[in-house]
Amino acid sequence: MNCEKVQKLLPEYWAETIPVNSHREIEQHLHQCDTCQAEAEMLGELWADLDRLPTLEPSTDVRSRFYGMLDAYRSGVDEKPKRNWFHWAIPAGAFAMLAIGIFVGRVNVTPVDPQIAQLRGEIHGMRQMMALSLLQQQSPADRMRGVSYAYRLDKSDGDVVTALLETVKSDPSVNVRLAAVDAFRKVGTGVAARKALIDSLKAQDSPLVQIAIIELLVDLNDRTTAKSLQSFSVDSAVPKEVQESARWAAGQLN
Amino acid sequence: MKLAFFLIAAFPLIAQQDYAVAFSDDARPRVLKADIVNGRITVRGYSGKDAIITNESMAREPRRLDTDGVFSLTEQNNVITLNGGVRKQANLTIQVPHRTSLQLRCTNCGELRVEGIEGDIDVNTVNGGVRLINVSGSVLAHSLNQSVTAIIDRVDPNKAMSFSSMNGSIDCTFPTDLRANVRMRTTNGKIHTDFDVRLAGGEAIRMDRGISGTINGGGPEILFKAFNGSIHIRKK
Repeated sequence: MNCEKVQKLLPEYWAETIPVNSHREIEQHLHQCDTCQAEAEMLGELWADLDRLPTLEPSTDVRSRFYGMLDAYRSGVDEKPKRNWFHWAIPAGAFAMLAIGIFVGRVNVTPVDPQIAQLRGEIHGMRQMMALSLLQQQSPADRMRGVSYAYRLDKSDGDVVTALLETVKSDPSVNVRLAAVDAFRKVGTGVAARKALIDSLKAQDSPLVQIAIIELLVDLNDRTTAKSLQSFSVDSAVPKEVQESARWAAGQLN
Repeated sequence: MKLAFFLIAAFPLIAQQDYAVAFSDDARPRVLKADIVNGRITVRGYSGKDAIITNESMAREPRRLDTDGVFSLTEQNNVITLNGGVRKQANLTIQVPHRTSLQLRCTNCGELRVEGIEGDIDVNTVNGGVRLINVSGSVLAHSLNQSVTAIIDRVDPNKAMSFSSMNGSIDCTFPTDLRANVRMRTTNGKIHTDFDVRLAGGEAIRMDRGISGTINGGGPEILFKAFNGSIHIRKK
């Protein structure tokens, strides 16, 4: 069995839904191949984490919210549908997106094995789901693992960036907040996220987190943040060390 | 659902008193949460089943029975929660089963000390140091103004850890076979380690941007963050 085939079968291998013969062949291959071994360990860890996720219990008002939504839906159905341009815009937009997709697909000549691309996409999706789910947990250790998953994402994702920003703003654990700030180096930030980080500076109760955010902004080399950092550095409510850091950062970015 | 509730300050004249609180549900992980404003917390692992709480400060002087200063101690779903009032000085020694997760907060601590615990340990202090001795599992430890010291026997291979201090140093001792991805950053201190850290970033390593690398091939993320202090990462 070659690497390609083994990597394709790894999800079924961990889910234990694979025939015994193939299972044995995969194990033999893993003993010989470090790359597949590392991939298998990573997937195994992800699988174990999915297993460990606590089952979320529905809150008590779920029933009333559900019936509220059902009533709203029924009353919407009962209303006479209005004909306006918006009804045509959605299918027209979908058709345009399809046409663009087909065009881009035809001109894109990069030879990527679709199965490997699909597998990568699935792993990315699972990591993203793990990050988002763990960041909501009660235990600080679990939230820290959520930040770790975010750190291991290959590319930035809007939902993960939003969850990390929320963590930086309000997580009770200083260490989880520090790790979330650090994760932005890997996950990446857009203009809106950088603005949100600057806005969160004042509300931070930990000077260490404030300094970590300032250092991150310098590392990201976003010159548009220099002015905000300069005004933050003369804010008398800010601790002395943080003021000095902000002054240094503004100087670096100017 | 079992709920135990005690008002410790209702017994101010009793000489040093132990309070035993049972964890009610063996099926769930044990968790101890404590949040104290003034005083000291020591948590020790022992081979019993209950949490035994000793408040030494109560032995010295009588306390007013005003509600503002009363401690509360509750148990629910295997989570014991202890909260200290603002005016009270709590010098607490808490014994819990070895396998218990901890979430401890102390603002004006002499020292927050944890010994012989296996679990997820999360400790935060403002004016006191943190000292963790012979602990296992995962650790998140932060002190704003003092040092963080940890001697870790075994590391949970699936969990990330973090150690941080603004004005103190960080001194951590790990098992020799530690596998980890480490990220270290201190602004005004130095970084020392006797582990072989394989540095990331190739030839262009910017010390002012912190250092990251792998130990023994890599593993869970461990973050070390200081500002005015140094970082020591030692082999056991």
